[in-house]
Amino acid sequence: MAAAGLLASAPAGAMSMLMGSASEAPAIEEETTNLADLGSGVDGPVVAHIRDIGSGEISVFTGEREVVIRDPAVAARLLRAVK
Amino acid sequence: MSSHREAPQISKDPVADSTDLYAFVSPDNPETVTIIANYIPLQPPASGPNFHEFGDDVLYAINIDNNGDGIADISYLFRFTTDIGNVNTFLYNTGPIQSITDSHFNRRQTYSVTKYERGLPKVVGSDIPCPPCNIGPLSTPNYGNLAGAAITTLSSGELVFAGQRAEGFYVDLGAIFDLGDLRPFEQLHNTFGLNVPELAKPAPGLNATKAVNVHTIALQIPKTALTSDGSNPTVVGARSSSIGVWTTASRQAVRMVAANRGAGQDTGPWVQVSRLANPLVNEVLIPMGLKDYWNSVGPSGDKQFAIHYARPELGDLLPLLYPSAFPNLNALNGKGTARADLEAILLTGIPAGIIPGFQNYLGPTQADTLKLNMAVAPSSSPNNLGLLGGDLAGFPNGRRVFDDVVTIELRAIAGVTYALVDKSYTPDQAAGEVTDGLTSSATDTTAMGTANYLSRFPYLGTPYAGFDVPSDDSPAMASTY
Repeated sequence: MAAAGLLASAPAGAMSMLMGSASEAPAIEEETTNLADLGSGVDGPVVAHIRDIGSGEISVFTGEREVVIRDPAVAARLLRAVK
Repeated sequence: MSSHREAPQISKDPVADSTDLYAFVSPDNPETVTIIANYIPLQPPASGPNFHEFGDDVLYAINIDNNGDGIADISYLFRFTTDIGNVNTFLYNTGPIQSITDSHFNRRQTYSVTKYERGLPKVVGSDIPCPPCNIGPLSTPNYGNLAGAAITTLSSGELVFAGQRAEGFYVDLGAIFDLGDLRPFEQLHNTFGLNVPELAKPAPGLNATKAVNVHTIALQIPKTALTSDGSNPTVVGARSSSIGVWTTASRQAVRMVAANRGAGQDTGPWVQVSRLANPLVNEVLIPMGLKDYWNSVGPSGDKQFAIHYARPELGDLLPLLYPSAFPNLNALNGKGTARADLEAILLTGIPAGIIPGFQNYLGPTQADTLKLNMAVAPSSSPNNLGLLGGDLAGFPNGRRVFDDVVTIELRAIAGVTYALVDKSYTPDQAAGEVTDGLTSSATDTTAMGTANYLSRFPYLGTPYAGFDVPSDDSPAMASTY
């Protein structure tokens, strides 16, 4: 597994922060989902960790949970944000 | 030390660092078992204004295995909450703390207890108060009353206490980690060829954990709540009479330290960072490169570490450091023999047939848990050498607060217990005498005045008061609690 070691964090209700600020990131696709609705009920910070750059495997931490997703597109957008 | 600074990572995180674990049939209430898990090592009593406290960001647990698979069948989880009455003062207490609810007690902790049994959680206590730290005669007068008021009965019937206590463990750490220089035997040490005149004759040990405090989580649990079938363990030979106990501390997976906030935020699942069952294991048996890893895994996976129990490095060192003292151990080491005695003591429990009338075998799974046969009655005349002293109620059948676990394990590793599994083996005379020299005799249950143990729950003594130490490091005066 590639050790990306990239952390992106966001306060609750501000999932868009996962993508970094607009000024830092390259062009970001328009998000059509209602982020405020998605963020409701999320307590505390949400942290994404790219576990494996090659596969786009991302751990998302919130509360006392860790959810692992495989989404190369999201991983790529996060990586572009820190380039 | 037993487990006070046993691994590189956890030694930098004392709030989550387990130091000692005890489990014994309560001498004053023998239908129950007392389990004590200590955290936050080596507390100087004078630690104001920020006296020691449990971590709000740490998940503490006491775990019990009653079927021998090295997996917890019963767990008690502890979460602490700190409340500050007045944030505009620098004071821990704004006046004498006369009661546990005294408004002068400015920085107080409470905790919740969740009991997991067969995977099902149940909150069995909440908003339970911790006593303050022992500060001194003006701040915490009548400390015994404060500590006593913090003893609570959980809704599931157990007694519980969480708060500061006097360190009860004793060890000549300075000598042991000066290349195994045991003061009572230092004249026999090879000294690596160095000319050190002060090591030319025996000397008594020096207790490195004298006059310090720890934070204790203690439970007193009915035996019938610990057996796998709810039975009362009365038959020493029955497998169901024994349990395995260990403690863990966990932190959340992610910690963020934000600039200009003065505080961090944690998120994610709990990840184990500290583990303790048998004393001194991670300290002395587990090699440096595995110590942090050992702390992070559960006892059910201890087979991977078994070689370090069966062929302890310290066993090889003793004949090198004391060339004339351990010829039989040296010969045993030379054969490369796995130490089945140590594997039994520390991993599986001791099977029947090894020690007459005794066993605390939990099964073939190699799991470092503190094995306790609950059918063994408390001793009316305890021997601090436990099983080695013929006292079946002491370590390594569980562990009492006064057991001289350093001497017991030194002697076991030196070969005394190998004779139990190989009748042809004759232990070296030195193996039966080696000690770090902190007890006056095998019946000394005061650790040479190290601490005033209590005769009842929570058994560890009144914490040393900041006002007194270090000018007066004599044991805290005996108190009810």
